[in-house]
Amino acid sequence: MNDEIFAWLARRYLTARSPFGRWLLNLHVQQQRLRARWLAGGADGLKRAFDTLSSGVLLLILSPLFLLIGLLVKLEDGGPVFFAQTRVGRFGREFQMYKIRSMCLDAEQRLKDLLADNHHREGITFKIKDDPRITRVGKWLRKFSFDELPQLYNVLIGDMSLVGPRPPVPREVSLYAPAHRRRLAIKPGITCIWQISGRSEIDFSGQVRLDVNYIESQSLWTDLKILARTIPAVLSGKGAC
Amino acid sequence: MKSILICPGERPTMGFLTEHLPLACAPLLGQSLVEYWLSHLACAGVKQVTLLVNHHPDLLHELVGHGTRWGLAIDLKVESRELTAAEAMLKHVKQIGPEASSNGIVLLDHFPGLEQYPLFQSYAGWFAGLRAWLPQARTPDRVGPREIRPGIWADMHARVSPSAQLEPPAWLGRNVVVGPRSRIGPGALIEDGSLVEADAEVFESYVARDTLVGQGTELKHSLALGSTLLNWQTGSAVQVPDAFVLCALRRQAPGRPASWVQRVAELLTGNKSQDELFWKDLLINKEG
Repeated sequence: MNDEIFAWLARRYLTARSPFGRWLLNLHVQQQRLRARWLAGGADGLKRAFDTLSSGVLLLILSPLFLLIGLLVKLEDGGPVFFAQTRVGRFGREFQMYKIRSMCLDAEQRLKDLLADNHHREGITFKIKDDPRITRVGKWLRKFSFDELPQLYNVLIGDMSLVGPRPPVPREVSLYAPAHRRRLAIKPGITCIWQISGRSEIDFSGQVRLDVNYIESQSLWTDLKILARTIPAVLSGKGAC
Repeated sequence: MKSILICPGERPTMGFLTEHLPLACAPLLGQSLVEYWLSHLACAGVKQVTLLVNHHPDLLHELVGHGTRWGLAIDLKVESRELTAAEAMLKHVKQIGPEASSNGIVLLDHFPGLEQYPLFQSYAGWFAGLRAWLPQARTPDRVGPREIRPGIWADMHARVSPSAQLEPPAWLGRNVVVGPRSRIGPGALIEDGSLVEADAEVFESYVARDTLVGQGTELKHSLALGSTLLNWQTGSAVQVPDAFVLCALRRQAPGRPASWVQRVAELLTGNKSQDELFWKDLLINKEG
């Protein structure tokens, strides 16, 4: 056993006796340096590159659709086409998220009336079924999630990513416990991972756990799989996040 | 509730740790000391924190920002020297108000709850503190570290070879690669980005960020900080001259290289003086 170790050590380190051997060993170290650099930043860089490229391409391809939708919204009530919402991104940084307006112009006043009328479930998030503030065009837009399309611009500038947990509003985030803040550890995404895992059945801590699972197992391949499953859900009109 | 955190200044006895980053920012098991404390305070319900810094306040600001990550309001104050708790109390008593007690002011030289393990008095004490903190390093608001086996923690994207032997307690940082037939023994703390090659052994040791532990290298009771090897039991230190035994995989200094040419050279040679030799060599060969 000792002879084996000695023989291995001699074979291994005897290369270090000659300058050429040392050069070979240093080449191996340089290769490990490049590998470490790739491991450290490669996955994030790849996600960012994929996001930028695909959002740019999609914006170009979908620009006629944007024109059409803009026309429809303007024709309905003459108000602005886009609106910005403050949402919370990575590590609590707030940014402006752009959407196509799907609610009528006095939505804020009607919200107060509705809040008195409690239809919402217990918890931190707030969503109402058959919301009377939604315009006719808006209803059609939300069915196919077209109102979320301007978020491609957010992806292009780097506030958001294509795949990730949905960005919460600052009001929700102020109520988060420290364990809930874990879902703010990556950039929020357009496609929501919840809708493919059955979101409406689980409570908020379950949602946070799903988000954390996503963050820990994230890679370009898993993102592509999620995108492949999201597109049929959106086109069939079922998913609205 | 309000709190004051005093960041430690220079500690001459811990010279090797403060070469590149101030003590409060240096990564310990993936996160820095100040981040652990902010997370601890956020869990305890504190809403406003004042940070007193005297060493590299810019790096600290880059790290914590305004505290939105923890839901805190952080006020960074630059001091000319490291204050003691009593001095901080006198100077900033207006900020923290009359309800402040000495509990609201903390000097960051230990982990939260582990006052009996002072970190910056000796390397042995520092290592003991890290070992004691290991089970609590995954704070409730932290994403990444998972217990892959009882007592062995691994952060995201850590790759362990199937023929490697792991014994608890151990910590593998982010993107760590553990080579075949290596022995990550009890008490091995490997930080983010390090590579442990085949047949290596790490026993009761700490491997710093982005460090290469070469083939067949044995680390026992040591701290491997780039190419500096410290024995925390005896206090001796040595600079390992051979990069294939132990070396730093990335340039640690915060200064960025000036142009893309320099960056390419740095990538290929890993060393500033070697950059110049590399380019001279290339030019000489081109010409003749």
